[in-house]
Amino acid sequence: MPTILIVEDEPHIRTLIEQSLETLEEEDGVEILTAENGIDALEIIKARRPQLVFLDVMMPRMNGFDVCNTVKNTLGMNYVYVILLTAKGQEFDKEKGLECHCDQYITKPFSPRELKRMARDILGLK
Amino acid sequence: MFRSKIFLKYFSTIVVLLLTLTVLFYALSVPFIKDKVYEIEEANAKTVLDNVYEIVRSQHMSLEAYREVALQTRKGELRDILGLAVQYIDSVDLEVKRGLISREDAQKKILGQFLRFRFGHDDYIYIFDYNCIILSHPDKTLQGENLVNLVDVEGKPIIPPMVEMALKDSEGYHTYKWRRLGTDTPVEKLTYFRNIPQWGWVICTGVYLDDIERVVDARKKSMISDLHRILKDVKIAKTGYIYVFDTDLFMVIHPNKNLDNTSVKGLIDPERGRPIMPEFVEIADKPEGVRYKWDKLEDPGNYIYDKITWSRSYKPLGWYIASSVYVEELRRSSSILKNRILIVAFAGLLVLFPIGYSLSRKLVSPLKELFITASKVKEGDLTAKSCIKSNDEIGILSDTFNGMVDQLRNNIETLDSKVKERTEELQEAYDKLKKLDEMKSAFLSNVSHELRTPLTSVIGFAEIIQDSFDSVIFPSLNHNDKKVRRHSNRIKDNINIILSEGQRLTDLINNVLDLTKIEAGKMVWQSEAINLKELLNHAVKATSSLVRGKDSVRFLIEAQENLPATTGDHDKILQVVINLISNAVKFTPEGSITLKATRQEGLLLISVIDTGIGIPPSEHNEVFEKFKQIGDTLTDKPRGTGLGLPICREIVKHHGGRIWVESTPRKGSTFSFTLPIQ
Repeated sequence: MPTILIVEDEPHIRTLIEQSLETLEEEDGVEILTAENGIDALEIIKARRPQLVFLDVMMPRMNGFDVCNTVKNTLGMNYVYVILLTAKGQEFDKEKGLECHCDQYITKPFSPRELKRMARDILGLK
Repeated sequence: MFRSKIFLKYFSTIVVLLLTLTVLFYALSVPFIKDKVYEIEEANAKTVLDNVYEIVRSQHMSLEAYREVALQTRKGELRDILGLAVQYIDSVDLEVKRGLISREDAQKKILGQFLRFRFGHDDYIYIFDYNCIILSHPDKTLQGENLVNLVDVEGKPIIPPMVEMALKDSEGYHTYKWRRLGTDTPVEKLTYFRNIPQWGWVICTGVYLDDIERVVDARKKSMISDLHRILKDVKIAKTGYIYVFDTDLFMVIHPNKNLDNTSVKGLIDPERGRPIMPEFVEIADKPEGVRYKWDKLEDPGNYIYDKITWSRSYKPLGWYIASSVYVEELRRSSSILKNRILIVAFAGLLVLFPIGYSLSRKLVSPLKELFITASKVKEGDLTAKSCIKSNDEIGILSDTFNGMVDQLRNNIETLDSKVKERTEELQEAYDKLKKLDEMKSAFLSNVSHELRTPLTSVIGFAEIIQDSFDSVIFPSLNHNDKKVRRHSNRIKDNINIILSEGQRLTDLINNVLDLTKIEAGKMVWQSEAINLKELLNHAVKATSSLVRGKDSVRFLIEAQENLPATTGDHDKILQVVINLISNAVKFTPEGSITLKATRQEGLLLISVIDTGIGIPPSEHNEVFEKFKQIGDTLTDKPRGTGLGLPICREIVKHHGGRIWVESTPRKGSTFSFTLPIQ
C-alpha cells in the first residue's frame, strides 16, 4: 500500500495538502501520514518508508533541505520521492536543492489539483 | 650646452649687446681715431720739421754770435794798439813842445816808427793826411800816393770815408777788401782809425777778417755735418726724412750724403710735368704742404705713391728745410691702432663671452632648479624643496615657493584628513543605507513568504471548495428552487473571483520580489544562446489561452526569416514578450495584435502592435514606472499589478537593449524593444 508523508509545520497548509490528497486515500487506498517538523519526519520516514514525501523547506528545529539530505544521502533511501515545498518562489536555491538530491520542488501558492495530479503520476496511479 | 629657454634668451641678449657695443665702439672710435692719428702724425711731421728748423736757426745764431765776438775782440785789439800809437805820438809831441826835438824830426821819427811797426798776423799801422795822401804805409809803392780815388774790389771807396768820419767823430771803423802784405788776394779787412788833429793825420790800423771767416766756415761745416748726423736719425713715420736745399736748388744736407751739393733743379713732378723743387719753395712756411706722386726705394720708377712735403725757409742762410713722407706711412700708425683696437675688441669679446655665459648660467641655473622642483611638485611630490640659498630676489622666490609648497602640503593634508573623515561618515551612512536596503530586501522577502502561506491556504482551499462544490454539493442541490440556483451560481462566481484575485496577488508578490532583486543586483541572470524564433513561438503558445478567449481579436506573427541568434536569459526575455502580449490582449477589445521581429541596424527589434485603446502621449514614459497603470484608477478596474512594464524595462536594460512605446489613443499602441545581436 503506497504511503505519502506530508511534512509541514503550518497546520492549515498541512490540512490543505491532506484534503488535496483525500481522494487518493479514499479511492486508491493510499496511506497519508503527517509530520509537524523535520525530526518527526525523519523518524516516520525511517519507520514507514513512504514512497512520496511532500517536504516543507522552512520549518523549525530541522529544515527541509537537511531532512532531504539525510534521507537521500545519509540514509541512502533513494527510492523515497521527495518534493520540496518552498514559499521562497524564484528565490529557491537550486544549488541547495541539487545538493540534497530532492526530486522536484513546487512553489507556494500551489494548486491542490496540480498536487493531486503529481502524486498520482509519481505513485503510478491512474 | 646648458639647455634652458630663459638662459638662451639672456645669453643671446648679452651676445647681441656685446657685439653691438663692439661694433659701435669700433664704428665710433676707429674713424675718429684714424683721422686724429693721421693729424697727429702730420703734426708730428711738421713738428719735426719745426724742430730741425730751430736747430738750424740756433746753430746759425751761435755761428753769428761767434763772428760777432771775434769781431769785437779784434776791434778791442785795434783800439788798444792805436791807443799806444797815439800815446807815442803824444810823447813825441811833448818832446817837440819842450824843444828837445824839431817838428820835422818829430814827423820823421813818428812816421819812421810806425813804418817799421808790426803786430799780430803781420798787421801794421798806416797814416794818411786829410787829403788822402799816404804818409806812412808798409807798402812802399803807396808811400806819398794820393789815394782819394782808391776803391776796393767791390768798388767801395776806402780812404775818403775814413777821413770824413775821423774829422767828424775823431775815430771809427771801416771795412773793405784789401790784400794782405805779400799777397794779391783781397780779403775783408777791418780798419780802426783815429784823428790826429795836431798833425792833420788819420792814423789807421786793421786786421784781416779772413781768419774769422775761416773759423766761421769751419764751424759752418761742422754745423752741417752735425745736422747731417741729426737728419740721418730723424725719421718721419717709417721712411720719411728731412733734407735741406738752398735757393740755388742745390742739396745742402740730405740723409743720403751722396746727394749733398748736387743740383736737384732737374727733378720733375711726374703728375704735373714740371720741376718739383720750385713747388717746395713756393709752399715754404705754409701749413698745408704739397702732395704729389712719387716712387719708392723698393719700387723705383713707379710714380704712384702719395707723398707729402712741407718746407720752411731759413733766409739768413738761404736754406729751405723740407720734410718728405709717404701718406700711406702717415696712415700706418692709425691702421696699426685700428688693428689693435680690433684685436682688443675681439679679445674683449672672447673674454666677455664666457663671462656672459657664466653670468647667464648663474642667473638661470637657480631658476632651472626651481623649475625642476616645481615640476616635481606638479607631479605630486609635495616634499620637493628648492635648495637655493641666496639673499637676492631668486632666493626670496625660492623661499616663497617652498613656503607655498608647505602651505599646499598642509592644506592637502588637512583636506585629506577631512576627506577621510567625510569618507568614513559616508561609509557609515552607506553601510547604514546598505543595511537598510538589506533589511528592506529581507523584509520584502519575509513579507512575501509570510503572504504566501496564507495565500496558499486561500487559493488552495478555494480550489478544494470549488471541487467539493462541483462534485458533491452542486449535484445534490434542488435546482428547481430559484433561490438555491441563484446562490449556487453566486458561490461558483465568488469562488472564481477568489481564485483569480488570489492569482493576481501571487503575481504581485512575484513581481515585487523580482523587481526588488533586480534593483538590489541580486537577480541571478542566465547567459545562454537564444533562438528568437523559438522564443517567440513559446510566448505565443503561453498566451494562446488568453487570445483564444477573444474572438474579436486577430493574432498575427511577422517574424523575419533567418533572424540571428542573441545571448541572454531566455526565461526573462520570454517573460518580457509574454508580458507585452498579455498587456496588448488586456487593452485591445477588438482588432488585431501583431508580434513582429526584425533585424534593424545591427539590432534585433521585437514589437507588439495592437489596435487597442492606446495611451495618451503624456503617459508614454510613465507606463514604465512602478505602480503606474493607465486610466483612472478610481473608475477603471485595475487589471494588472503595475509592475509588469517596469520589470520588462529592467530585463531589457540588463541585456543592453531599449524599450519604448509609440501610441495614439483609440488607435493602438506599439511596444518595442531591442536586443543586441550575439
